Amino acid sequence: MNYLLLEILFLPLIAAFVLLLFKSKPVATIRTIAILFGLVSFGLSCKVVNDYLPKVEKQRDLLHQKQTFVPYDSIRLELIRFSPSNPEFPASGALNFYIGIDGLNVFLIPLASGLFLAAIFAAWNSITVNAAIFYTLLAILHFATLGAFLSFDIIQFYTFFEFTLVPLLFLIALWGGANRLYAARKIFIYTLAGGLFTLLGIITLVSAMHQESVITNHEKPITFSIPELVTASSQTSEIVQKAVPETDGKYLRDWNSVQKWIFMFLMIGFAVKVPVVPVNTWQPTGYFEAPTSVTLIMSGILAKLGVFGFIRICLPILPNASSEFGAMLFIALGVVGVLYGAACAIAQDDIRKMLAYSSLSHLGFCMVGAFSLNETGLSGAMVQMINHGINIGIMFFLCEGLLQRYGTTRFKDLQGLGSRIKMFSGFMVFFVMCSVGLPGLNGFVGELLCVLGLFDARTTLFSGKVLAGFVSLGMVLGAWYFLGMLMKVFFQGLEEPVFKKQENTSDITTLEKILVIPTALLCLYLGVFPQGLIDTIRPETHLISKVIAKSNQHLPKWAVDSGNKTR
Amino acid sequence: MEAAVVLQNSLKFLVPEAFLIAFGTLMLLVSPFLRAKLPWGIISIAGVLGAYSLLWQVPRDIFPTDSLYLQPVLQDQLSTFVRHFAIGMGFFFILLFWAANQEKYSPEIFAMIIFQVTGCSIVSSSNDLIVLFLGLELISIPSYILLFLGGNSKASMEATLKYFYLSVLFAGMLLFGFSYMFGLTGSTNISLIQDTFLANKNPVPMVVIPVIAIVAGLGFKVSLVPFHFYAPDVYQGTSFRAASMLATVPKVAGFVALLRLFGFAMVGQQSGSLGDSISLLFWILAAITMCLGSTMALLQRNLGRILAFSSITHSGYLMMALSVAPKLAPDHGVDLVGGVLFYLFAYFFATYGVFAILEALQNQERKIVDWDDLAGTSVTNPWLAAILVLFLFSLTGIPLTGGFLAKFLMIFSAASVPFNSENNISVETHNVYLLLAVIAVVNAAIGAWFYLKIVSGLYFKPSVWPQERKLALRPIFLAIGLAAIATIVLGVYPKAIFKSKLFRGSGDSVIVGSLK
Repeated sequence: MNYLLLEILFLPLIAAFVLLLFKSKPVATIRTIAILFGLVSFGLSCKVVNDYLPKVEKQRDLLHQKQTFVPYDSIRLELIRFSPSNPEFPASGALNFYIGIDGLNVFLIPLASGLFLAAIFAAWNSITVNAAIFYTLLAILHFATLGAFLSFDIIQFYTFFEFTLVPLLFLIALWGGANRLYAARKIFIYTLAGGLFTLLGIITLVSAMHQESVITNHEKPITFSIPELVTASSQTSEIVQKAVPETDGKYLRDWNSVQKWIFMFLMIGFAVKVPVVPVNTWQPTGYFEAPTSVTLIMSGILAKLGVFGFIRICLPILPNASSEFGAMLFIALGVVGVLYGAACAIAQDDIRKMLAYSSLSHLGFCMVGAFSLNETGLSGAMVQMINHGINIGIMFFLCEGLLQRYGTTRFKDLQGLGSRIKMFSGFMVFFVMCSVGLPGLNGFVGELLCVLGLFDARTTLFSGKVLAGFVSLGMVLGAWYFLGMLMKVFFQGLEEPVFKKQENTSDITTLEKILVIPTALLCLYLGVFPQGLIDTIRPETHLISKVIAKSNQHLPKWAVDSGNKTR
Repeated sequence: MEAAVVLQNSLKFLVPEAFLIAFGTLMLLVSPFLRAKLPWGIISIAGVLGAYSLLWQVPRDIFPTDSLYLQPVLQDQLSTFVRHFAIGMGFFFILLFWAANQEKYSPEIFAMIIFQVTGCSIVSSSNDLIVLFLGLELISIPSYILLFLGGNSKASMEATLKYFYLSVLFAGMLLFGFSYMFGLTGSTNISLIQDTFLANKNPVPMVVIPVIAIVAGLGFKVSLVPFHFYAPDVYQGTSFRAASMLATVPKVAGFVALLRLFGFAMVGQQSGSLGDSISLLFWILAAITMCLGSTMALLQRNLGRILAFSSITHSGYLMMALSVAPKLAPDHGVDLVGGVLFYLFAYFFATYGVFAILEALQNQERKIVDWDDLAGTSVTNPWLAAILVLFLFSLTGIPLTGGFLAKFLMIFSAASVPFNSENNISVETHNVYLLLAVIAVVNAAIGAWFYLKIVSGLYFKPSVWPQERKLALRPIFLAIGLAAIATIVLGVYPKAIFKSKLFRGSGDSVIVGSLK
């Protein structure tokens, strides 16, 4: 059992090597190998979920006692030792290879594996030149993504987080559209520069956790393990709050300002990865120029790495900075992102560009939910991450289908396709409904929870209720641009481009059906029974909201318990 | 302890170096009668391996603990590690120069490489200013010859002359610093000098003069910014193989010498005001070196110049660690000297690899000068291109390569200066060092741009070389392969080196050695 995580993590790497060996074989062979590995990887990911679900109740008990992330299953291997470890912090004093599974990442693993499988399907016909290298790079990207989600060591998380850039650079620059070089370089430099600040933040964080203990005469070893950093942070908070009155809250002020600085460093890389509004300019070109199968990955799963970084690292380890500074900033930026993304999406003349901006808008919901800092909002952000991953992934997959048939996704070339490719259009309508948040389908749940979370948000500057109004407007705008796209492309009189890729445009193929039908069922299931999902991630979201509430006692108690409303 | 016994032990200790020097001299003597390249290559590799096996034979604890002030050489973890490292470098450079199409001077070239690595090894174990200077000269003088034999173009002549004159000037400056130091302390023994400064908290103000002269002399070797002017011109003018040697051997020796000479400043507040001044001096040098190195590299087209500025930038990162060292408590967690050595190790493999691949790719009809001359290499030589990307990413500091962990250790050290602890370091001081970490991060991001430029030349530009060209299997590929494996292992499983017998606790030696 213990080796399951290792198998999941390293299977893509093995796939990469195997694919490289088959470099000179025909495309069909390479594709088959890639699909096989993808299927096995997805199967293993599902097994993880299956193994985890019965343990959820136990997890809740563990978290009640322990006050930090408790991975249900973990593997730890020492890489560099700095100082001897401490019985209280067994993982301390060394850089570790430390992977584990808990409520936050348990659903992101199958999401990632599923999306990479979808990407292989999407690349089925479009990637024929150097296919082995393409699938190799895709497998390496898969490896890095899984590594980042599974990490419980903060440096290891950063390592994988940053390493995703390398395969991405080559995937975009070698197989992208006309302007691919510009897009690839922009993404690389943007994300690397942001990521380096995150590295600095992580380093400062680790040394500050060691440092603060020096101030308060409470010896703590250097630790890079995320659960131990959470413990160290909350212990320091407790000590600082209990500090003797004559120090006049000096420690509290110092502690807050240290947290704020670290938060500012950390947030840059995560914000670029999401992206959040002022640093989103790489996104439209990037999503448009990349091959669609890679765009699917970027929007579906890599963007989630940023949100995941916020939820896994920033919120529980820097609770004061998150509630005083982060919440204000990122709720504001999130609201702006929701509205700005939606407004830009309305103005686009191409399905892929529209989807890129809709992604900006939907990830705004995630940010708003996460920084509401209560259980409802955090659950909302997690659920939205998963649902948006499924929805945007499948939408880009269908876009690739359109590209295969017509070679274009521009509105002005395509019209009334509903009468030509009937089943395809039907599925498109279904997934658009998922994305706009039709109640009963999966997109609705996450958005609703995020907005509900915002009502009780722990912000002092804005009224959550007013902002919730603005965010809801984003849902309305979402319906506008998505349904507008449906109107233009799939309804009205038929108009196809003169130069099609296929002579007789076929309706949905078996290959597409294999992927689309299960996904549609999953969307429906997650829309009707979201409670299982919410319950599974509940221990962790509860923990984070508790940590934040404890660190900041100026806030009223009802803000903490509001999570119960979701039940 | 009798001085004669100590001297005898020192000679016993220096057996591998003595063997290498004798071997090199013999090579020069026999060279008029045997000119072919292949036998000389094999002979010199055998010589290096022989010295390596002799190095393992050197008994531990040759010197008794009370003879520190008499010893001309020091046996500690730092010297043990760097001696192995230096002889290993000799192995790599012989393979690299073997690849060059120069039948004519092969015995001389191989002998010079052997002398150089011997010099590096002597520097690392020196405990005396004279020995240290001898070691440094043993690096410099062969490098003039190597540069001169490197090519017969005008640019190469110019590079050689430029390097020669400046190197002689800075050697003079170093010697001036050493003699001034002798004048101040009355001894050439480094341990004695350090303990003098440690015992005397507020030394005479004049001590700044030798410190600056020594930093300038060594700063030339490691190409720190105000002393870096030669590097771009020389790297551009000379061949890639000679440039790779200039970018690594003097740098390793220079930083090891800095660690040896200024190790006393690394014992926290015990080093007093002089330690603070040295830390400040290093802070400034680190900051301007990083900033100027990376921004100037952005403006270059010539590969030699880009790599020269890259090498300058890396000196800045290393300097950062030396600047922070005095402010870290010895048990703070980051073993700084270990970090510097790890950085040098990772930097050596990456830089060597880049230059070696450039050398392997070029031949008579295909000259590589600018970064866009590499266009299409990914098609003609896919493996070399992929490995070159690995080395460039290591220099950039992309995770899962040795360069990332090395850079991480440097930035970690600068960002983790403790405040309010026993060291009496204020929050302001802490922030000053944090600022250095911020500067390093900004420069690492700028650095990504120019390394990426080379990568994009390799992969994303249409080929300028229409037909595929197979390269003959040459010794150099063995070296490139080893360097690539080392780069990945350092990045993925650093424990392999951190746990090795040679490396363990190499940081303590500098500090403890001087405190004894």
